[in-house]
Amino acid sequence: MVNRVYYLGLIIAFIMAFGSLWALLTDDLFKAIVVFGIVSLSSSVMFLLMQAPDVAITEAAIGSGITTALFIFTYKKLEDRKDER
Amino acid sequence: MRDERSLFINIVALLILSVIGFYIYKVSMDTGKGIKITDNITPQMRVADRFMNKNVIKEESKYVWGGTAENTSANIVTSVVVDYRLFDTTLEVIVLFVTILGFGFVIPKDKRKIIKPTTILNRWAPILMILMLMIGGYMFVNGHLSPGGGFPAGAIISTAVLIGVLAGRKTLSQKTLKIIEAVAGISIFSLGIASFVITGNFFQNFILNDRIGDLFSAGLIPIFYGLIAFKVAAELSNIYFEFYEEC
Amino acid sequence: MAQLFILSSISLLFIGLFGVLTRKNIVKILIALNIMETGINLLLVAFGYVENGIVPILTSNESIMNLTKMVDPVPQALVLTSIVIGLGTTAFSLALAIRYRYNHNSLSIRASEEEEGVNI
Repeated sequence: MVNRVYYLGLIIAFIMAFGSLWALLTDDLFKAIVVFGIVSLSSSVMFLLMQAPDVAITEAAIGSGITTALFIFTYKKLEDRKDER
Repeated sequence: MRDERSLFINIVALLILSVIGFYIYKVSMDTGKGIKITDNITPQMRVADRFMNKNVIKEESKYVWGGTAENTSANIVTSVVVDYRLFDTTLEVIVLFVTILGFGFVIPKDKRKIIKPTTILNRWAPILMILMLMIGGYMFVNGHLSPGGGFPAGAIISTAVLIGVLAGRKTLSQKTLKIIEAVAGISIFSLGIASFVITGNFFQNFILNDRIGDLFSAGLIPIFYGLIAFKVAAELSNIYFEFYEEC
Repeated sequence: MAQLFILSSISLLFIGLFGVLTRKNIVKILIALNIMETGINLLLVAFGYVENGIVPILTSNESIMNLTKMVDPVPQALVLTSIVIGLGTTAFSLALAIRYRYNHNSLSIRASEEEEGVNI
């Protein structure tokens, strides 16, 4: 039983490390934003494994939802400006 | 972005940072004579132990730990956030207000053409909004019994406003948001002053003597969490209106 | 378990630091700062973890008997407020980035220096 939880934590840790490296090394800005959202969502699963459900809910709603939405709004605004010139 | 592709700089930076990271990990997990940051073995030395046997107020105060459980709310994190550290939480909400005020000043306002929303989004937006408002309301009403609380509840309620903005429906005006925010902020501080008049301590809980685990328990904690939820929702909704302003 | 938590959060923190030091795109730097913030939050909660701990919520008589096995609630309360402040500062810095793009017509951090004629 404990082993299964440990393996789940190991998989989540690998997803977070590779995802954050990918978000930094890729050229496409939109891809980087979406992969950052995935990293933030998997960190909320990590908070759940640390027995902190309050922080997990807050991270899933604010850190993963609204922060990614703000980045996408900014990207949209920058792209709109690029079309004009 | 010329130097971003240079392989040498990337590899050197990764190597240096991984060495530093390895030493920090070694120090934090050390159980020998070195500096010891974490203490996972003896639970008597934790911060929570001092929190449980808290005795910093006068002796006749009702804040002394009763011997079986924490006597304010069932969720201990909530009773830390909204009871013992309420000064921190209110000042943090004020910091959020100031950053979003600065956001409104800094962001450039220009004309942009509004894309008409599709029929599916326009028809389904009210149903989704009702569901989101129900979930948000449940979260701050039950913040002292189950995980959740005011901050994610405010975020979810502001997401309902966001869907209304995206679907092109008129939900709230910016003046209403400012009134909600001002009323919530003023009532938090007026409750604090009322508790100073009644008990003698600022922000002290003055409704006690009820069973842990009931819906109507924990005194002022659900009221404070509801006010915080409305204040956070109004502040976050301001961001969306700033982005999608029809000029 | 605590070893895994601390290792993953420190790796996330230093990957974010790597991004802040080497990237040239402003939005990429902001993404790296957000990754760093996530790592620091994970590290703070991991310092309060107890082996085989339980959630700090009183749900039944069984959990009231096991008060000493609970996870430390104070770092969780700190992290709860820190996440919300992170959102506010991220919004403010994104507005600054949009303003920078409108002034210099580019997102690179070298753009302001190249306009003044500084040789790099």
